[in-house]
Amino acid sequence: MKNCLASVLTAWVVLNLWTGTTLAQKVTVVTEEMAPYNFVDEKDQVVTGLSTELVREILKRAHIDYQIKIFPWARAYRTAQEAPNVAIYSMGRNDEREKLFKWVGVIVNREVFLYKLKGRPDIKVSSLQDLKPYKLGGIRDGVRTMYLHKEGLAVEEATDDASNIKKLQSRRIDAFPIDEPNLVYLSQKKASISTPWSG
Amino acid sequence: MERLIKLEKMSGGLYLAFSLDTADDTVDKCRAALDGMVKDGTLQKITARWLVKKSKPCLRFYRVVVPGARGIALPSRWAALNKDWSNACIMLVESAVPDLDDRNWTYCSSTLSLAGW
Repeated sequence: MKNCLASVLTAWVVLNLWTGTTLAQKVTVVTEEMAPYNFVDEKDQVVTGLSTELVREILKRAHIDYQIKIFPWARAYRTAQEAPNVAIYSMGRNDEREKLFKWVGVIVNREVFLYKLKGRPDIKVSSLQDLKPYKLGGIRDGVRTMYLHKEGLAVEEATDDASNIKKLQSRRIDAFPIDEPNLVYLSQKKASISTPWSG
Repeated sequence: MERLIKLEKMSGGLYLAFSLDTADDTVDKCRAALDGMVKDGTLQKITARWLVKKSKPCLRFYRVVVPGARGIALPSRWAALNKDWSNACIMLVESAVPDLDDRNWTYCSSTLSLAGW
């Protein structure tokens, strides 16, 4: 009788774990370093940012236990497709990704522009098709990269946009897509690192 | 750096999403939480705080240390001067912002003359 009860109990627990309806599992939340949306605060090494704060509030209200990890985008993206109970945020949405995830909703809106060096008056474009002769920068598995590829444009892929800025300055690429808040943060960070007398 | 063109199709939302094997209940709770944040204004409040405070540093003033004129407070747009002038006489105490606008130069020149340079 005792054995029978134990078996029933075990089966019940396994069934509930399988369906995920009772015992709440800790969710792993992944993203990339992309200030001001998601980044590690250098003072206390905590993941913070606009999107991070919103996601923390969402998970708090939903009573979900979680831990946030920052990876290069390609790894975060892969993890969210391969590992169980993973959330991913600050992710663009497109047709290719539609069926790869369960979407919660928009947390942040942004405007994306292609940027070039100011000292490159030779680069003049008024439409995407004008970009064909140029080499563009992108992030591996990034939605902007997917889009530019889809438009038939040459994209040199990097792990992050900090690398794209370096490539732009060394003229390995001619332009790359980014939104202004992110660009401002990266420029500030770069200035504080590369200017030896900055405070 | 300067803008070339806007990528209309890439502009728009950044999302929160879950892996496919996540329980629907978890995803639904998060959708409800996000809806609640939109309705009660929490999302807008958090967004405004970050984007005003963190993404418009052009509105902030930076302390610039200049030999013979220490501690003058000047707009961050002076960062544009860093290109041609800074090594000799300007030290940025806080970091620069991208000079996205040619008008910066006019502004900086007039500020220079006001500062008695």
